[in-house]
Amino acid sequence: MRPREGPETSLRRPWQVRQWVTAYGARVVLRTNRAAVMPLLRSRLPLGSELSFQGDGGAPDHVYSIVFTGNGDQEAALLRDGRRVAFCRSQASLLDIFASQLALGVARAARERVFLHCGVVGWRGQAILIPGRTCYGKTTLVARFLEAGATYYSDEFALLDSAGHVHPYARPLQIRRQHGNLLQTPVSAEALGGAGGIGRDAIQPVLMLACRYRDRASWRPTQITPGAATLELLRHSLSAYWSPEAAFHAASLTASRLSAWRGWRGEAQPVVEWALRRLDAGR
Amino acid sequence: MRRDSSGIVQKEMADELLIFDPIRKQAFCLNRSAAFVWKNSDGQTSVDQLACRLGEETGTPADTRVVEFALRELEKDGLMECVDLPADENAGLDRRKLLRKLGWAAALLVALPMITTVKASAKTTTS
Repeated sequence: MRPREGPETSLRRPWQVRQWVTAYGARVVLRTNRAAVMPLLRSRLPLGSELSFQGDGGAPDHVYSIVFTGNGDQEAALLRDGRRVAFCRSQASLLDIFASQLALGVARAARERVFLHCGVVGWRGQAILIPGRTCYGKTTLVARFLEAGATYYSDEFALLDSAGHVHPYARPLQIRRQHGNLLQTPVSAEALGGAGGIGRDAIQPVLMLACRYRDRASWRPTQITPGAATLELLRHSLSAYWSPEAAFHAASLTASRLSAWRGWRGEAQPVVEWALRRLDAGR
Repeated sequence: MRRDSSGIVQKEMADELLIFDPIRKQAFCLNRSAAFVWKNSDGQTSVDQLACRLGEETGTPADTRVVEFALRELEKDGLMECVDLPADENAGLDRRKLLRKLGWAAALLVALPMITTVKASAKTTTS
């Protein structure tokens, strides 16, 4: 995987500043034609990022370029590997999109962990995985688990290691005030008032809830086989394209050790109560 | 977990068989009867023989149509090349229609071959 040197280089942009970032084994370069913006970009790096001004000799996995067009102070294009992914008229939206795109790029290119699109909470030292795409209701469910005393691991990514353990990616929860609304508000796990705190150690996933919100649905899950659970985890893996063997190994190992359930859900509370009852009963 | 000469990785999970093709970046989950046909298709065993063995394995009536269904599914997913599979009216059937055609009880649907698959995509989104 090599970033494409695309249109922006042919325009001969005068890059004022260039920054290498590494995270979970992914190598990324940031560059912009406005030096004053770089500190703002650094403030929006994904969890686990480390800065350097030179790479380790290898090519970057992705190059992110922020190009101010000169039409006003705020207008800027965000390019990934030479392709424009966004054009923003305000700095705030530029930074939000940059943060989201960079997190995604790191998740795809990570070599040290397998990234899954998944909410994760801990309960008595064991993990509950909630795989799902955007607007499936992952964050809502994670928030209800935290209110019930679960430990916060992530509302976005499950980071699996080669032993099938899940590591924390405890960014602030991105809560939508209304289902399906794309606007999100960052809320710290502590602000939700749960007593479980934030996870520090890697733990073993023992329960997977492959569920999706549907208005007025009742929670009547069906258990799925370890093979189906493996495919479910792979379906939500960001690493499966770039590191397919590592993703397959981690997903199948994890799925072989957990109890996996699939179904529609309405309100989150019955799901939380059902899941915690199961875990407390040792099932 | 084992890997064959073409790089295909296989992993047994309870009654199921997971197959991973690193070239196509695609994973397959074969249920018990699909896995049985996959593992026992050696180019020497006839469809009749396979049907008898599959019937013994799953406790269902021996029927060549079940084996042919499995072979077609495996071929459709690019997991097997079937050079002498007869073209017949059962081609294109799904599992439920095959069940009705076989005249089996609904509870035996799980005994029919099933393959599910996931293919990794470069396109992903964040929440």
